Amino acid sequence: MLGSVFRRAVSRQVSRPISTTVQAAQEQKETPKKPTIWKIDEQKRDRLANFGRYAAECLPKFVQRVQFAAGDELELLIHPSGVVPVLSFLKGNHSAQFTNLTFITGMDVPTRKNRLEVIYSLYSVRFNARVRVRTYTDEIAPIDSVTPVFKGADWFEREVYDMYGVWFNNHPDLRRILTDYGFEGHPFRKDYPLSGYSEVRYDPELKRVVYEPSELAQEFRKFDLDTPWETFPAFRNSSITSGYETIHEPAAPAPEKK
Amino acid sequence: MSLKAWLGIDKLQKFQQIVKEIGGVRAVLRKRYLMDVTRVGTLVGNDKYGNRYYENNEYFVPRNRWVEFPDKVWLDYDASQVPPEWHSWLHHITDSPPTVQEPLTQKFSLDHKENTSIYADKKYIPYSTTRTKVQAWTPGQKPNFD
Amino acid sequence: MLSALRTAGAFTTRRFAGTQAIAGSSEAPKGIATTGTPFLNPSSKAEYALARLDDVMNLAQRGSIWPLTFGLACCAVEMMHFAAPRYDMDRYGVVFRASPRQADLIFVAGTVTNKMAPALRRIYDQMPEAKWVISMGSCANGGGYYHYAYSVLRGADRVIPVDIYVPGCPPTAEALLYGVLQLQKKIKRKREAQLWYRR
Repeated sequence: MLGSVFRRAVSRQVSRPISTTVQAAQEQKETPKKPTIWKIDEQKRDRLANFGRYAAECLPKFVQRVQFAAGDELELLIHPSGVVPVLSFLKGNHSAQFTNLTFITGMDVPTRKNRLEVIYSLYSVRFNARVRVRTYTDEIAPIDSVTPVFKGADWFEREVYDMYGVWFNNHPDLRRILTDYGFEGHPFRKDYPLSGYSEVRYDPELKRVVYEPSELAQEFRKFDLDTPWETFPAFRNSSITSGYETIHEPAAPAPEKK
Repeated sequence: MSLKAWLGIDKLQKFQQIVKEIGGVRAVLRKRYLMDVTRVGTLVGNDKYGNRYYENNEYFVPRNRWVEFPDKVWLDYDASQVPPEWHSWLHHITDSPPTVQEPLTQKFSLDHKENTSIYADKKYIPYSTTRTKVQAWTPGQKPNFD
Repeated sequence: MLSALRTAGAFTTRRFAGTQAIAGSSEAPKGIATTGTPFLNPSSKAEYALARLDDVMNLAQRGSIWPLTFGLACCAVEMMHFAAPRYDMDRYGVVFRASPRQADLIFVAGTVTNKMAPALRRIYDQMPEAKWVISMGSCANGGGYYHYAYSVLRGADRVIPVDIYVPGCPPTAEALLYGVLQLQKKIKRKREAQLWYRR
């Protein structure tokens, strides 16, 4: 009697999760996995993809890959020597007219051989479209400045130089822009410590603000922010690069050709 | 519009009435010195600190409720001398004062205390476990030069 | 035995009377004490006069604290609310000035970066004497959210002496108003003339 009740309870406990997972799997089959609720305009996406292919064919020496990020964000991955030609092509091409440089930013991935990445975002006022141009460099290799093409790139490049230490050739005035006067180091690099190296206080004897080696009165507190719940269970098995969808890639990558 | 209102005599009469209710010219001057206002209202209640709370709905909304502090604090009155239940009534968070509707009390809620942080002997001073970078000199003690 | 009892009783009554007297004096201040001044027991006539001079000076100073606009971050928006009609700083004689030469008070409203620290100190030095500082918000109080950052000063008091710390992130305009009222209380206890006389 007791055994049968127990068995029934166990079977109920076991059978319920199975049925729910089966249901969930069926629902997943019906709707494809999407990280966002953003509705993608298929027509516009096709036009962008066509333009990406066209740009890659026009500039085969520089464009190494054309891809979509997050569904419909066009990205051109280019060789660092082609920054000025590619950006002037995107700006001057009459069927694109990417005349607005939205931002320039950097990225640091220390495990890569060319650890720094520089990203240009362009906006076409005429066609209401955006494109991102990504290129790479390391700590020493300079990149050509795009100030001859976009005047507004001046301060953006100063910022990238300040935060990541990317050197821009032919820049009219390449100095630090955000950090302190006489600051050393590039704080957005992954190997830069959070608390930096120096701190500031007023010295009443010298009657000025002095710089001293950083000394924290309180230890940095590390909070355990892991939740017991899985944040995105639907994307458990997908890799971080699965958000990219390659549109066009030459058979052999350009740098290996030479 | 009556002649009285046209000549503004009704304002003077009102003022006279207020002066009478407060209790004479001296009392009015004392009140203006302490609170910078000359107004009378109905006493709504008292609290344990001796504050008196008044209401007069002839004034517009934020000014129709006010507190009069006891004489012993004189000019050293402070917003933190009002306990939270009366604070919510003064700021129109509740419609009815705590004398009418008993405020919700929890067993974990602490007793209200006045903010004494500007008094040197009563203020809270945190202490650091590490040695400070700049050592302050305490008066009455010879500085140590070595 | 009886006498001992009597003395004990007398002692208790005397003590009781003493507490009564203290309570009575604190209940209703009399005479000059009603000015609300903390300097009530001067030792000589000169000190008495100087204490009253202090009263007048402190009254004048706390009645017109003119702060400097020094908004650095989001706290500046709350500082603007403090100036706007709902909280209306003007009724306490607090009027924003754009020049440090005309200011008595500086609100350090927001994150003080290392790059800003010398500028803050210079502005503080440019203010005429009898000057106060209200540090507003966690960032100015002690670095706050950016305490461990490489570019942020860990508290405005590393550069200028702070009188009132207003906590909050950002503090409400009401909290800032309360901070200003606390500063007025602090000014009330200033005794510049008496200290000058003692020197």
